[in-house]
Amino acid sequence: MTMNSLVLRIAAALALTALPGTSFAAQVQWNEVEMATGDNAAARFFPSAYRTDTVDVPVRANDGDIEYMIKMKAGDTVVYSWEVLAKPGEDLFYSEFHGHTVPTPTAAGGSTGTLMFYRKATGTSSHGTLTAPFEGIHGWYLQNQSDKPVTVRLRLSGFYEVISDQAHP
Amino acid sequence: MTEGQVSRPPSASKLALLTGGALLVATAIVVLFVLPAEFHRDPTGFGRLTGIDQLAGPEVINVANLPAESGTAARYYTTPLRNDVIEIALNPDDKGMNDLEYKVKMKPGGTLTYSWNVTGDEDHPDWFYFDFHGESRPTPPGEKPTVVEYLQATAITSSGSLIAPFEGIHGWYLQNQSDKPVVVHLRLSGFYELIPAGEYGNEAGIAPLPPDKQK
Repeated sequence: MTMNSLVLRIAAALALTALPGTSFAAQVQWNEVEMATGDNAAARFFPSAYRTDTVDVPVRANDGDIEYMIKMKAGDTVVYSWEVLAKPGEDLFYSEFHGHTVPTPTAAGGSTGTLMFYRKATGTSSHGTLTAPFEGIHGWYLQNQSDKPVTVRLRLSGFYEVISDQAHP
Repeated sequence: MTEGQVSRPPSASKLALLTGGALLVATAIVVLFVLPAEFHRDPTGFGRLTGIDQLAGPEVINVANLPAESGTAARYYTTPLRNDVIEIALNPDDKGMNDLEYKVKMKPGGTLTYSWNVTGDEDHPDWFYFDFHGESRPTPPGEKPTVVEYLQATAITSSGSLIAPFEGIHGWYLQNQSDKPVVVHLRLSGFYELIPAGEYGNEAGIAPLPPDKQK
């Protein structure tokens, strides 16, 4: 900022302060509210730029199913849209949007973890967002109940990591 | 009946029978009902037959529920997400164009992710100031518009997400305090609408890059 423009700016600010009613601030009576914090925070900030991915997920016919999951830390946000290309009929495609922690072994030789279902639905598209409630693996179980193989086009943007080599059953 | 009469204890064999019978019944209850319903163990198949094995949910998984008001959860929309790339030039030599506001329209609960960075004077990150905030629009007659501050800082890069706390316009006041022309490269993804050029929130008339120039 040059000295001249700084002086002009200060002069303008003083003039506006001196003449209430002429400034923008004086015209609008703002009701300023505090932003919610913690789990209900409206805004969240991240140290690096958000990523964007488009993934085509093939799903076999006749109850063929597959999971597509991403890694998120608690509080990470993703926005998504997916749709089944060449729609098989709304009632012939089922999905479960869910998340789980990475299972940890138990003394009994099994494993344990936390699972949360976000939405179970029948339909060939979904648009939404998730702010991860816990660190773990979050995503979709997709099941094609039609007799033709289909492709699900998933678009993602946000703060997450993709998982390479996801098991294709 | 005489007071003080003591009932005759069962014979040893009857006692053994009763105890054994009780044990048998208890075992049957555990095997048929408790194991399948509580522990995912269904040795007889009775749990699957009757459906009581469903009571326990998926195996060794603790199914968690969120408080209804929590922001850490999923939200759904009726329209697909949109992506925009917006470039905003702030030139100190162009009078009145070294600062401006750029906002987008959002419904309550609408979500977007954003990232922006400033090029042109990377040596002076503290010479770029921004104020990320939201204003309620439209304002009902006779009421004050609500404003909420999300982040005020100096920096030449910022990334985050926003879940709109109310219907209105949400975005950035951007101020170039350097003496060099700079460009803000803003990317947005999510559930929002752009404000047409010239309208409140986009008085500077900023247009998004055409889709073929967005990468």
